[in-house]
Amino acid sequence: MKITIDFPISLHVGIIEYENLEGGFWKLNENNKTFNLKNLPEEFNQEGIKVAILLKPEEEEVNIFMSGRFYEVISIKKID
Amino acid sequence: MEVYFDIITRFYPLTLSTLIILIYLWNLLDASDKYYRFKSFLSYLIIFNLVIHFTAFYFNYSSEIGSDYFWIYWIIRDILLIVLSIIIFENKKLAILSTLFWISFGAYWLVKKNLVDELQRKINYRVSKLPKNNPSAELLVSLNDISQLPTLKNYLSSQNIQFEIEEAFPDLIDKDITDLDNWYIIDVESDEIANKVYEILKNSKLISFIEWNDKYKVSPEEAKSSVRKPISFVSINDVRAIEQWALDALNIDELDIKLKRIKLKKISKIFILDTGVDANHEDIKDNYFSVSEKYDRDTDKHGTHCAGIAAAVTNNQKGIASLNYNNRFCKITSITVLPSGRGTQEQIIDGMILAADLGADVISMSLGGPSNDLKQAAYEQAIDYCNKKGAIVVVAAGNDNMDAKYFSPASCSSCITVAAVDPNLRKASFSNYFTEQKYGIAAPGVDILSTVPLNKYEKFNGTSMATPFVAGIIGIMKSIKPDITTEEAFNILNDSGKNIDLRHGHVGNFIQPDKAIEVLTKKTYRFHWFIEWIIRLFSFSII
Repeated sequence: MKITIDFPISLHVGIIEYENLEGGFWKLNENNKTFNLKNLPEEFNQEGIKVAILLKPEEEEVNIFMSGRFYEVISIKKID
Repeated sequence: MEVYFDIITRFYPLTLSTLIILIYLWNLLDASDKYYRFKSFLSYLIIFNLVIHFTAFYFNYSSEIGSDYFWIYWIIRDILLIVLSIIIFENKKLAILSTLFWISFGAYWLVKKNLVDELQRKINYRVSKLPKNNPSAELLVSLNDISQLPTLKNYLSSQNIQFEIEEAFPDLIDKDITDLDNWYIIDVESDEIANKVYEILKNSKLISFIEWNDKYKVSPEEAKSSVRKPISFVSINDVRAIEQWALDALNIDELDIKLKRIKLKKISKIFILDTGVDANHEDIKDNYFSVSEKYDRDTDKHGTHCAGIAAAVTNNQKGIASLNYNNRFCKITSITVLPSGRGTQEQIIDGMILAADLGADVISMSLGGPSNDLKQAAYEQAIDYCNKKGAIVVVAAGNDNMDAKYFSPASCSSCITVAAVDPNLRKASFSNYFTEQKYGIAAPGVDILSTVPLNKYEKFNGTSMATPFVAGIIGIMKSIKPDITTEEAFNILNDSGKNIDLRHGHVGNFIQPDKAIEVLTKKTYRFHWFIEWIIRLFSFSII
């Protein structure tokens, strides 16, 4: 079966990190490339856990973090 | 010596009223033998009071507003008052009325300024600052856990070190809200022993930090691995101010000395364009005015944090302090442009226009996004509109350790853009820097304690935190000189600012509010000193 998605998504595997900026936010570190995360489920709000994550880039908008692009979490799974 | 003159300065209205009351008493007594001794004693008291009074004048008003010799005019005014009082004393009824006035004036001053408490605080402060032994042979350490104190003592004893150890801040009011009660001073006999203790303890797991009890002892490289010297302030009583390293770096005590005698021309309005502001926060509400109820709650924490930095209620024995001396100069309000921290350029520009139309003097925008030509042009026009309406726009440089020219509104030419520095006064690792920015300046942006909703306080990092510091001082400048332009304000802040280490990127000069106010007042009053003198000569309004 073929699934068509009308927005860009990408799959990444990396470590969850906390960025202590502007009150703080979570990001994914995949081989030193980072992705700022929006809507990370609370159970994943934990530094150092390894995850496989499906991300959708947010439109580049004005925000309080002023630190790179944000990605919406479409799906996430912890990897042991 | 400075502190004693400062204390005298605070008492000068009292010395004036005392002086006139003494003259009245002296005038009441005839020079018969019966009262001769008492009258002589009164004479000495009057002379002593005169000396104190005019010394206070000299130290309070030399280099003050307008002219280096302004204090002379004040002395002339008081001499005139004293002479007038003596003439009045010829009439008994007028003499009694006049004396009652001066007693009330003295009592009012004493109560209004809480002078007794203030004096006590000053003395305590000085005592706590006195070196107990050899100041260069003291080390400040922060224990990971207070229960480990005996272990630390045993460990040092086992190394054959003679030492004394005591709490660094025994007078902490509320130990639950700070870790400063974990700080101890280790006092040893010489620098050599202190060096040895430093070497022994610097990698110890018992302590989290160690440093010399003298910040000038530490080389820049050593400073990197240590924390800042603990701080205290003379002019503010907010319980968590001791955690605000930024206020120390911004010389708030010196700023307050400069601001206390300034007659403001208006109370300026600072608009925080952000996630909203918790208007009921205990440390904000008295300095807050609402433009619409819908903006008076925070959808995040960010807006409330910025508002606290710009103009938290100061000297209320609660939470934090801001640069807004005794809450006289600025009021803050909010327009929510980024619900939940994100929004569109349209929302921002709508907010800017609304703020300008509502009479904003300063618009503080701790926000931004990637720039392009179209966005840039829209922001430029919006800022131009705000400037024409009399508002100065202050924006954050951004947090990507990149050139701010790639961010907007940071890269706009008519706003003041603020980069962040850390407690060592170096560019914060995350802060954007300037290569082409017209009005780029630096302020504290790391480890900044401020208000967050529900009467709480948290430390944040970011150029967002640096921005309201600049907005706050510009708010004060606006209240002294309402027609000051962006360019003038920037030039004053830049020229009076401190040069900082450029190796990590150019972020402009580090603001020094006390010096900026000194420059501003001299410029403002230079051509009006005579009018000011006439007004002040015949009024006590400035007191």
